[in-house]
Amino acid sequence: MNDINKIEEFLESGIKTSLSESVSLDFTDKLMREVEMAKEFERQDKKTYKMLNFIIAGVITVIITSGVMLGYLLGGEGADESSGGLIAGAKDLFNGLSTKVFGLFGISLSGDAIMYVFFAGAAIVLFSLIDRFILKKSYN
Amino acid sequence: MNEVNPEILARIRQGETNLFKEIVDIYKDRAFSLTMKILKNREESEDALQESFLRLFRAISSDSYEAKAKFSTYFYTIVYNTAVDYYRKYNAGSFNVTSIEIHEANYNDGDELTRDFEPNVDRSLYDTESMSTERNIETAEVTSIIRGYINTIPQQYSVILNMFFINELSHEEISKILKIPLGTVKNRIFRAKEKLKEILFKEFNKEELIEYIKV
Repeated sequence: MNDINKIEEFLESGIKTSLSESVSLDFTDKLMREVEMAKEFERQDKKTYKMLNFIIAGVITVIITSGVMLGYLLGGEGADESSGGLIAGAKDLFNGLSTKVFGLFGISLSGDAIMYVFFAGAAIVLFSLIDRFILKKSYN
Repeated sequence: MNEVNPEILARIRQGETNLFKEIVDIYKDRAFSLTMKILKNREESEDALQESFLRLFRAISSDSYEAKAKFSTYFYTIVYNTAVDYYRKYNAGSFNVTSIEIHEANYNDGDELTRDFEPNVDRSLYDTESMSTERNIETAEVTSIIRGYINTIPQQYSVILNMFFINELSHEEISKILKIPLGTVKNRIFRAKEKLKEILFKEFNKEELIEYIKV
C-alpha cells in the first residue's frame, strides 16, 4: 500500500473514531419498555375501533331499516303510489309466495310476517356490508 | 453493514416484539452519532433516537415499511427527519443542511471548515529548530487534533461525514435522504478530508507523520 493510501486510511479511521458516540447503558431497556407500551396502545386502539365500528354499523342499520319499515307501514295504509306501490307490490308477492310455498308444508304465514322476516334479514346483510366495506376500510 | 434479516421483520410484525431489540442493538450507537451531530445534546439526541425507533416499530408492525426500500436507508431517513423535528422544537430556526453561512469578506473555499477550530499542539515540547527529529509525534495529539476538527466543522459537513463513515450510507443514499445534489455530498466529504490532511501536514512534519502512520 502506498503512502497516499495509508494517509487516506489513517484519516478515515480518525474521522470514524471522532464521530462515534454511544447511547447510555439503559437506553435499550427504556426503549423496549416504550415499545411494549406502544404495542399495548395499538391493541387497545384496535379494540376501540372494532367496538366503534360495531356501534356505527348498528346505528346506520337501525336508521335505514326504520326508514324502510316506516315506508312499509305507511304504504300499507294507502300512502302515495311511488313508495307505497313498491312495498304494496312486494307485500302482494310475499302473500302469493306464502300461499304457494308455505301452503305445500301446511304452514300459513301472512304477507306481513314474511315482510318482517325479510326486513330482519336485510338489516343483518346491511349491517355486515356497512361494517365490512365502509367502516373497516376507513379505519385500516 | 449488517442489514436486518427480512425474516426478523416478519416475525416482529407477527407479534414477536422482543426481536426488535436485535434491530436496536445493531443501529443504536450509529444512529445516536447522527442525532448528536444534529442536536448536539445527549438528552435531546437520545429522546429523538427513541422516537425514531418507535416510529420504525410502528412502521414495521403496521406493515407500512415496504421491503423494496433498503432497510438502513429507510431507518436513517426516519432518524434524520425525527432529529430535524426535534431541532425545530428546541431551536428557534430550522435546520439547514444545504447552504453554509459565510460572513468573511476574504473567504476562501473550505474556510468554513476551520472557522471554529484552533489546533491545540503544545509547541513548547518541540525543538524549535527541528520539529521532526527531536520529538516523535504523540498519538494523543493527533487524535486530539482530528477530534477537535471534527467537533467544530459545520453541521452541513458533519452530518454528511457521519452518514458516510458511521452509518455507512452511499453518496446516493445520503443525497436522497438529505435532498441535496449528489455532487454536493461528494464534494463535502472530499473537502472535509482534504482540509484535515492540510491541518495535519501543517501541524506535523509530513515525513514524520507518514512514518507515524506506517507504524
